Amino acid sequence: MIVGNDVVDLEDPEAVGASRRERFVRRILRPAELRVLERAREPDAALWSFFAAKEAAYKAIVRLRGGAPSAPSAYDVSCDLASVRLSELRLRLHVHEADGCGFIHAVAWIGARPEFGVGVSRGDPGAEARTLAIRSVAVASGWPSSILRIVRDPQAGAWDGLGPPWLERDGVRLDACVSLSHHGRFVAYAHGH
Amino acid sequence: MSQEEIFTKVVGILKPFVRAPDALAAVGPETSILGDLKVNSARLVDVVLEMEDAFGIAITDDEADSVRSVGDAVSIVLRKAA
Repeated sequence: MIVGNDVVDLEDPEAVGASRRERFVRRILRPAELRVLERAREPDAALWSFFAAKEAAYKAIVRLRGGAPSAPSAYDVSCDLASVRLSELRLRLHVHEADGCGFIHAVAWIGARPEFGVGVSRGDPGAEARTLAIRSVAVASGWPSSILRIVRDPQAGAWDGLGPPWLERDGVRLDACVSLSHHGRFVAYAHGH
Repeated sequence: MSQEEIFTKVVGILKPFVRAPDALAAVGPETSILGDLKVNSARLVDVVLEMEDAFGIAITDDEADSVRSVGDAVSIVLRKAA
């Protein structure tokens, strides 16, 4: 299976009021998504739900194919937020808006439903997302977290020069997908079984 | 506008969106916008919009998709403004 995830802090200054920025919105959403946004009671939450879904799909497809279009408008999110498409490729989707907590978490995958979760960052979001993911893998697998590690290999052409994260058990790479994200106050993960 | 002037203007556009300000001290054409400057993907949309306004050009999604480094952004302006 493959999985990607993305979290958005709805109270981050860059997120607040973004749905009122017409050119920004039109650069991200496709026409059917725009119509949903126009009817939404919480337009910022609707915009960032679509955006996070597209980012999650991008991360999953990069893992599958080694590359993917990064333009959000390339990804077609269904109005019920149940799936996301890139051309003929369809991924299942889970979008969670936490009432009262102020975040959107999107998970896109192909294959078996992944495990996923969100935590609050206390200062080192990259490390915190890894720790959360490893704890979740440990619970799901029964393995001690001390023998699990998340690694990224150098990858030419990748946005940050590194490929997607992988899980290792005692230094041996596992055939299990993991995805990490953080934004504002929140860190998040998703992983396959 | 010279290539150097475009580079300076592009760096000025990027500056408010950079989350790794130390990397700006050594910014060059090879500097990765997302990887080195830590501009996130949502803010990259803002960068594209600001570039359109600043240089009076239209940047397609495919062109925006090809931008990895500061030099890539400068190249798009040079090509479009020619």
